Amino acid sequence: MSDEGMLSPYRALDLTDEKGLLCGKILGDLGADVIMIEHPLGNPARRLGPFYHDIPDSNNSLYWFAYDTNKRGITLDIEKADGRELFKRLVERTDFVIESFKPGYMESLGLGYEELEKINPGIIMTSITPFGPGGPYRDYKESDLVLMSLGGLTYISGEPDRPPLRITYPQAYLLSGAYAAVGSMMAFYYRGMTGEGQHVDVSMQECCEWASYFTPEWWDMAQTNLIRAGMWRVFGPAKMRMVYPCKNGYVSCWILAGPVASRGQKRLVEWMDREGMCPDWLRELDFKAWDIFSLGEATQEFLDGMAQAFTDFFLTKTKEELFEFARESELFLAPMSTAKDLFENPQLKARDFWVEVQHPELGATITYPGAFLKSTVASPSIRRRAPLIGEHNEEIYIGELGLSKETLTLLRGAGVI
Amino acid sequence: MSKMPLAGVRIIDLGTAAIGPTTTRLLVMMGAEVIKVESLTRPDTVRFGSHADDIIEGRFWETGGRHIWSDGGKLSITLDLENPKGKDVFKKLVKVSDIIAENYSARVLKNLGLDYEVLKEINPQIIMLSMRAFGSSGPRMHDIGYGWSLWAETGLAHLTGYEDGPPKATIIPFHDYSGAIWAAFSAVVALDYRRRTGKGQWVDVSMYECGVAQNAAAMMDYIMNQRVPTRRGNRNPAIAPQGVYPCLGEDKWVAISVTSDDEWHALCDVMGNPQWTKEERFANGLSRYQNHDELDRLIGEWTITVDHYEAMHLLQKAGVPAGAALNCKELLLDPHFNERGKFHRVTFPKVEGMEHLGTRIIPAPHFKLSKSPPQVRRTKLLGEDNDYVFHELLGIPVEEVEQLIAEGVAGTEPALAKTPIASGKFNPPARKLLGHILEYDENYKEILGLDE
Repeated sequence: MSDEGMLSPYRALDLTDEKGLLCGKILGDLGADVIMIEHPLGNPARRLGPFYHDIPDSNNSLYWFAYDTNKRGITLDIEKADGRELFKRLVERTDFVIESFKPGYMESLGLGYEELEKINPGIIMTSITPFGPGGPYRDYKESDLVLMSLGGLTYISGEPDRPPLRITYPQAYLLSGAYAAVGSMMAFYYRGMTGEGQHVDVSMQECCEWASYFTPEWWDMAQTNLIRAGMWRVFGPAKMRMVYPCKNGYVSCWILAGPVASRGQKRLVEWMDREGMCPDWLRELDFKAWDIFSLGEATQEFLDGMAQAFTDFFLTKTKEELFEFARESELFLAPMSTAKDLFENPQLKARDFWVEVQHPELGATITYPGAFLKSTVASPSIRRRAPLIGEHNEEIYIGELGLSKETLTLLRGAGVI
Repeated sequence: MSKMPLAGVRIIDLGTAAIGPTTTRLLVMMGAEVIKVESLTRPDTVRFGSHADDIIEGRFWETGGRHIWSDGGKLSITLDLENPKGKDVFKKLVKVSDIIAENYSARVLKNLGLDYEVLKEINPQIIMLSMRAFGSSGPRMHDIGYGWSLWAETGLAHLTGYEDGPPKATIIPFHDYSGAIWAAFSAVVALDYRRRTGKGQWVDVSMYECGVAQNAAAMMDYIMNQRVPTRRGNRNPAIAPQGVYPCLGEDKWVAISVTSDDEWHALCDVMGNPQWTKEERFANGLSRYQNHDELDRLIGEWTITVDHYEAMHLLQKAGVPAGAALNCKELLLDPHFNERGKFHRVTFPKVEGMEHLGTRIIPAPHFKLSKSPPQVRRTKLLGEDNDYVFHELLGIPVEEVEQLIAEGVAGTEPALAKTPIASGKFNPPARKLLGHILEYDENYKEILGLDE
């Protein structure tokens, strides 16, 4: 297996902010040479917390660290004529341009797809926008919550008698970044056959809808408009708890009907009995005879009683103990992991998931999440940390474009770089 | 010359349930020839659930909603991979294919004698794309992951919930659908690598790892600052107010995010500048966050008087980020999605036992390639392409194909055609009475314009 990633012959120019950083990172993790082009005052994403040791410096944003691995960084003001010229020179020798400006912004600078295609007919330009380049919401403002809501994910999460809920850790930008990476590669593969580039349009609202995937089909197919179910699973007239507190956190546990599920549930009840925490009626319940109909006929009182018995028992056990038991006895139970649990997780360690990355500017080595897949050819890797502002100006402007040091100084003075 | 990026790419799709069919869905819509392989005794579970018109009889295995959304455009063949003859046919197919996509647990293909080690002897250029919960190595490699269990284990559950409450479960298998994006990406990278070097490979995607990698910055906060990120409902200390507010009507909500003082003033204007907005405690972002509960209540007094779409439009016009929280029906009727051409209408043949399918909606992929519009097509019937694949593609003589069918190795009538399905109907009217669903519309086809 080589160290060279599968995308190592390719180059991308990344002009995105937090809305699209993940796309370039994915390409970079697979070996592409990704150049992050920032405004001389720095990418707005650098202001996003949390920060390294809570020191709010524009080189310390953990969001920036996380989603700009493997990118080199240069500064450039593309609103200035000199800046645009330099950008076009870079486009000549690049495969991908990724941007997340407002729809029409790049065109207004004479840097839209039609222009770039003239410079480099094979260019793949990927534009990530909140709602796409057209349509009634085109100019609407976004936030993660707004996008997730207009994508249908928010409505379907939470308790039915409380407001819809989003995932606290923002997903809209991440889904969009990943989606943009697929679209870009599709266009790239097309180029491999035809020599022609394409413009890839990614709407963030749509990417959010992808994650709520099968819920709209219920209405299209079966006239049914679903509602959020919170931490309950619904059977017939009654609801069964899915989320249970335990000694050191929470677990998710599905009580199901059918012969497969009954094995695990029987063993759970036996364990509870051994510890003297099993009510008689529960011990005598014949899970094997339970089918989807008896579950459907269960009363709320009955299901609540069962949930309470489990809760009382789970509260005496840790997530880890319960999960180990579940794995051995085929009980449908999973721990609700926190970041700490993930970091200590044996499966991730066995897969060499965590990577140490040098941060000489901090005098530190930081652990990052690493390869998201394994390949017999070349797995993703982190070769360098996220760039400091303008870190590779000399390397690229002087080293690759052949500008002189004096020119660079002039451009710096004029605010172009 | 075809305009489709993946024209000429042949993919054997062994995918089942969620991530498998979803990944190949992205690939088939971009022009690949995807051959979905199922067994007659155990067809893919993606076929069951959200059946058209809630009818679970006749050819009900062809009318499941998730199947129609996931498998449109794919060729359909049946093969019993446990049967030696079935294995032989499969190997012949591998020889002329580019990718094998599968999401079984790690031991299944190995036990069948059809894992990568074996198949690359038959076709050294083959790309095997395995999509598992936990990957193909490590102590959990044989564990099956479910939507709800990965939701819990990747940490997203812990990060979802009201501030005062426990983590929330979800009905959506989030990691299957987000994992499918990463898996489809990996497939195209592998294709490109092969085009350049002639080499095949085995790509092993773990939904668990994709999920954790996607939330890298949350992990880093723990790694660097020993802070365990936790749930905050809909809130964010940098954005106040932010929330989902009740609107006019039954269970209608609008999401609002005020990210600056300017936006705060704009929100106040839209609400008609009620007296309370002038209070000192709402004057700046930090103190708005500190008084969030009261602020939410007061904003709710305005939103409850407005339709949620109306609220969104008014606020957006004034420059405030706002979005209606769309439910399933509203997603399909949303004017913006429709103008973007997201929802294609696909018509099904009038086959006995599934006549009621008619025309349905299937969404396009969420990237738009300027030169390559997606191909959004109907599902094929189970085994509909047996003749094409076995006879035309693989050159198996007609008598041999007939023998395979006679022995039950291939065919078009699944075993469950002879048994009634156990789960019964979903029964929307009953569910509505019980409060399990928001609503149902008997005339939904008319609303969607699906009637002939």
